Amino acid sequence: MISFDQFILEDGVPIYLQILIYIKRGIIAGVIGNNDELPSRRVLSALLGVNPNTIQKAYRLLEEEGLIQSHSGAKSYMVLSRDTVERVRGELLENDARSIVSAMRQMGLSKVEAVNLIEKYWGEEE
Amino acid sequence: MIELKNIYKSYLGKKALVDVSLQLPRGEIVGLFGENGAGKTTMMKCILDFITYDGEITLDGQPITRRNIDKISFATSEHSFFPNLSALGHAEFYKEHFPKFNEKRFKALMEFFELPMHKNIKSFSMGQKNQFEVIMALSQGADYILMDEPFAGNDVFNREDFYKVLLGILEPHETVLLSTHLIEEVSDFIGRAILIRKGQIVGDVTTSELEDEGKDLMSYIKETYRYRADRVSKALNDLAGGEG
Amino acid sequence: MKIRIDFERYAPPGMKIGEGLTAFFIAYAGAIFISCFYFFNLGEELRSLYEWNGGERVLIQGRMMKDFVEILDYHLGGFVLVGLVLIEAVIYQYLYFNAHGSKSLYVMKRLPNKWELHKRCWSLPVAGMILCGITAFVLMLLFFWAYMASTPEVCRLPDQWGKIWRDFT
Repeated sequence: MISFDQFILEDGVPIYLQILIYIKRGIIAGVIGNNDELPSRRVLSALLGVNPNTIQKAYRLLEEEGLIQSHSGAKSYMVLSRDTVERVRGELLENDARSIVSAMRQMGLSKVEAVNLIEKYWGEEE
Repeated sequence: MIELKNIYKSYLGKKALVDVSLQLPRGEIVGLFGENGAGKTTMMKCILDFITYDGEITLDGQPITRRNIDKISFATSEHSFFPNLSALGHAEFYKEHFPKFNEKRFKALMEFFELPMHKNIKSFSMGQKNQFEVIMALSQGADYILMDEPFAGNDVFNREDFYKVLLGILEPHETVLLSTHLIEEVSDFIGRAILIRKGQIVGDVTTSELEDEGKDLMSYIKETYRYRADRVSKALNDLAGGEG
Repeated sequence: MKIRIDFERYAPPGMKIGEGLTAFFIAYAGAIFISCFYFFNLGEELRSLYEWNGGERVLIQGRMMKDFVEILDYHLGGFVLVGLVLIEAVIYQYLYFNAHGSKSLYVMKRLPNKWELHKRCWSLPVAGMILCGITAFVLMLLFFWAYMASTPEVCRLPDQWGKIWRDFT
């Protein structure tokens, strides 16, 4: 069963998006794997204190992206091939990169300065 | 579905509800927002047939009478339990009078909130009384659960517990109509918001629609009410002008 | 067979009816007690029919007994008082549903059975009133019988039974 213990609601971001991102980050980090079961909509709704419609919306979007499959009896499972994991990783990385770049631009950094900065911290992390 | 069609109500010539029309289908959690005296309580009392009104209110197409009134329950900050009766006594009374009384849910909620079964409700703390009031409304076996400011006097942890428990136990056919001032607190909990001002419905929106528009509930409400911000800035201007 | 009446079912839920019942029965017993003073009256009136003549008690010539109704006087009035208090109890029980910081009247108004509220307000006081009424009537019969049995026929004015009811109308 996929745990939502680490899930913390943020203000200002629609909750269904937060759930989507939470699941996707879990996929990339390898915490969420193929065939893992999701909590039922009702249980998750109660767990997070969030309206069932919102949970339903998140699950529907996950379904549309082909990340989960709902079986009869309303149980939902992850369907993750290597391809999907790669796709999700690419998508999230792209999003994160885009937001970092736009933040740096806003602060008036040039591309060279930005790359230098990244290189500096990249080195430190290792 | 509960349906209100062109409801008018006035108290001694003062208009309390003006042309209120509304549909409450099954399976929704609806927040009812408005200032004190905007008509929230009056609207609920009309639905419950506690007061007379002009217009038509139906429940699944039928007028609301004693024959179908058990499909609606009511929790209020005024409280409606029997103060000198124990929780167990309430359960027995409800079991006798409401054929669909949900004893299992009653017991589970009593246990969850750790309320004593044998003490008179009068001896409960304010928070416990509120909890008990809501427990009875939830256990009656009603399809439409009306709650009028049920958490006035409860601390925030209690309230959060309540929202979560409610989400966990509500069946898909149950509808909750919750009137409250705690807008931010219930914004994730509700699926639809109804705004009432001076007896009129001034806003009715699902939270999903709000999300799609990229708005949060609070700003929607402020926007719909607008006047408040205007009034504050006007007052500030006047004050500043008066001094200068 | 033991018959047990669950009084609580006929009073507002949670109301302590023990005290009310005790008070009622004390008042009820009081009303019966007061009514017994009738016998003093009766005895006095009977005595006044006689005089002592040479150590012998004989009827005074031409002296007539007072009417039963006059002797009965207000001796059954205690029951009327208890009845009035019971009417007050009805009002009190209706008000009880809005007392002690909770409007349980709301619940009563939402019950599928619309008579439940009235049942719980009227039943016991009305039962009390009926009990008072029957007791008063039975006592009156008893008093009447005592009057008729003890009053010598020659002293009795006619139509004693009829006069009771004439008094009412």
